[in-house]
Amino acid sequence: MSAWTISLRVNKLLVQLILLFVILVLFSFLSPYFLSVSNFMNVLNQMVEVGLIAIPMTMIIISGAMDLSVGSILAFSAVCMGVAFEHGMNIWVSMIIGLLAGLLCGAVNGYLIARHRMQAIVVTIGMLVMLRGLVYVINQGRPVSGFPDAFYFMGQQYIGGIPVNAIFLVIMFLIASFVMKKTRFSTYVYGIGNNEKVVRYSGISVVRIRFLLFMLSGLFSALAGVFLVSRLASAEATSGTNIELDVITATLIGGTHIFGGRGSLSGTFVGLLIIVFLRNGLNLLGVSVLYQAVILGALLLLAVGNKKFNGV
Amino acid sequence: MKRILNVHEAPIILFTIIVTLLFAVISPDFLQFDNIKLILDQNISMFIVAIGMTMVILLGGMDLSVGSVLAVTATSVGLFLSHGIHPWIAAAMGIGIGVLCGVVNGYFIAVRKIPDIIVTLATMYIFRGIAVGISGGTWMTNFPADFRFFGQGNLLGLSFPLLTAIILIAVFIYLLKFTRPGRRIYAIGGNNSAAKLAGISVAKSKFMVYVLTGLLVGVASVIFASKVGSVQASTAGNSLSFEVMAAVLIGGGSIFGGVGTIAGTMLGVLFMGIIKNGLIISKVSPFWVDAATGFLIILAIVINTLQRIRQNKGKEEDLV
Repeated sequence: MSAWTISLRVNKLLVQLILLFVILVLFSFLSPYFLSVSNFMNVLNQMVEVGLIAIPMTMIIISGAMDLSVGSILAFSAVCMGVAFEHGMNIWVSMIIGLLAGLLCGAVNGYLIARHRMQAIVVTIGMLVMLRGLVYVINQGRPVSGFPDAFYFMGQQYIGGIPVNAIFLVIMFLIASFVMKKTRFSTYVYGIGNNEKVVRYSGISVVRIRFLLFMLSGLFSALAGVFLVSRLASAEATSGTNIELDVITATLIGGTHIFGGRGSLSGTFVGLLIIVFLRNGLNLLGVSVLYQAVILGALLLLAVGNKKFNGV
Repeated sequence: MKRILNVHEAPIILFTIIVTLLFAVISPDFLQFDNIKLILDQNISMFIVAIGMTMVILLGGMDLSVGSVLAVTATSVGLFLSHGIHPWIAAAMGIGIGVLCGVVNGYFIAVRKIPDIIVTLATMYIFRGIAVGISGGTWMTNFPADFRFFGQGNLLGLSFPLLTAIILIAVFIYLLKFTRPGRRIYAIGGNNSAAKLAGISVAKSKFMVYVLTGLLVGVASVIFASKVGSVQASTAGNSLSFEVMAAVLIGGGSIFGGVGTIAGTMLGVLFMGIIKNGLIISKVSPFWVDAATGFLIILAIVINTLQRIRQNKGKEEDLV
């Protein structure tokens, strides 16, 4: 039985890798600019925001909930950072302010969802709309720019030809992967996703784990906001709009089950690669962003619909 | 007194009165006949869409795609009109496209049994992309004069959209209260497995509700296009889904399904409309309106949770 499950899991990863390979080959034929080192490094540079948010999103979906407010938290912390910087604060201090803003949003989410058992989707939709409104209130919709050069190190520098932020992302994925494989925390997360009641009756504080997960989501969204500002050199009110589509699609294509309890970060990473290479290839072919959203939406339906068929 | 407090819609009626009084004190322009008419007039599309959303939420589901369906339908109506099709036929075809969108949602949710939140999240982006694609990214304007009737015309002394909304509300209140399909929706939302055991086809009811929602959104979008006089595919109905959802929840609908009425939802829509209008009339920055909407959604879920705790203490519920 266990051998059967393992082979199934390997197969799933194999299917994802084949899909990734097909996308790579397809776009290499379709666009002459796709298959080059500089383009690949470009893709690595651009995938960091989605990737960073995908880490806590995977954990949250495994625990059987969902966070739709990540894009707005990203914009909120980016703009908080920008405004703090405009008021004459040191760039690193304002960066910490941005991260704290994200953490605070995550805490509000966590407090309402974990402590008071409110529905995750509705609470995070509320936060999505409210924070996006607040972002416009804070800076009247104008972008903040003119950060010092030292700050751009995070988003625009390359070490040995590899972008710094991609290295950071991979390290984060490795750490998170370790946490999700080897620690008690991960057992609790998977447990909550499978059967919350059993976890509670085993004497584990479900509230605390849930709270932690949403705090983590807020923090990583804020981190993504900081990296986005560093990469684009400006903090805009519209940044991070619709990023939840990319994140959730990457997570679900990566084999995380929508009802929770199953999934892995390595799967999410492959899903992430599929999404970013797909987007990059479509960009090179000159496909409009809105058509890309159509394709991603279809992919999302396919990923979830396929799961049903497998009966996994 | 106790009887009044026990009415399900009591909190929302109370909120509406308080907010109305508040804005009446802040701004003398608020409590004028013209302004009240304006509030009703501006929210006609929302009233109609909210009927569909009430049924979806009664089933325990959620439809994030209504805003994008509105964009697709309004854009295609504009496209039909610019090709010289008669306004009535164009409107009918537009409603047909709304139904088609509902069928797509219903197929994936009821037949393929994918969670509604994922399906409608995906179709939200898909329909929006299609809307922008068929419009070519430009504004749809220059509708023929005949088409203006749907949004601005008068019939029997009442404005046509208001009349349509009142008729639709009356019909659906009757459907939900007194007919079998309507009661089935409450039954499924109240207890899915019990409904299944009682021989109700859950999939059929779900499919029907999503198709009806598509139909209602189609009607709303014709009125919307005619009233506004121009449609931009990328922004039309952008936050509609969230606002309508908030209205249903504020109006006493339970996110877990089975609880809620159309009358309550209509009060919820009115409440949201009053807040938006009041904020603008009190000359608050328009940026605050979005923030207020989000806050209202969270307020709605808080009220919802409090009601649920009061109703069944100690019962366990799922999170998603």
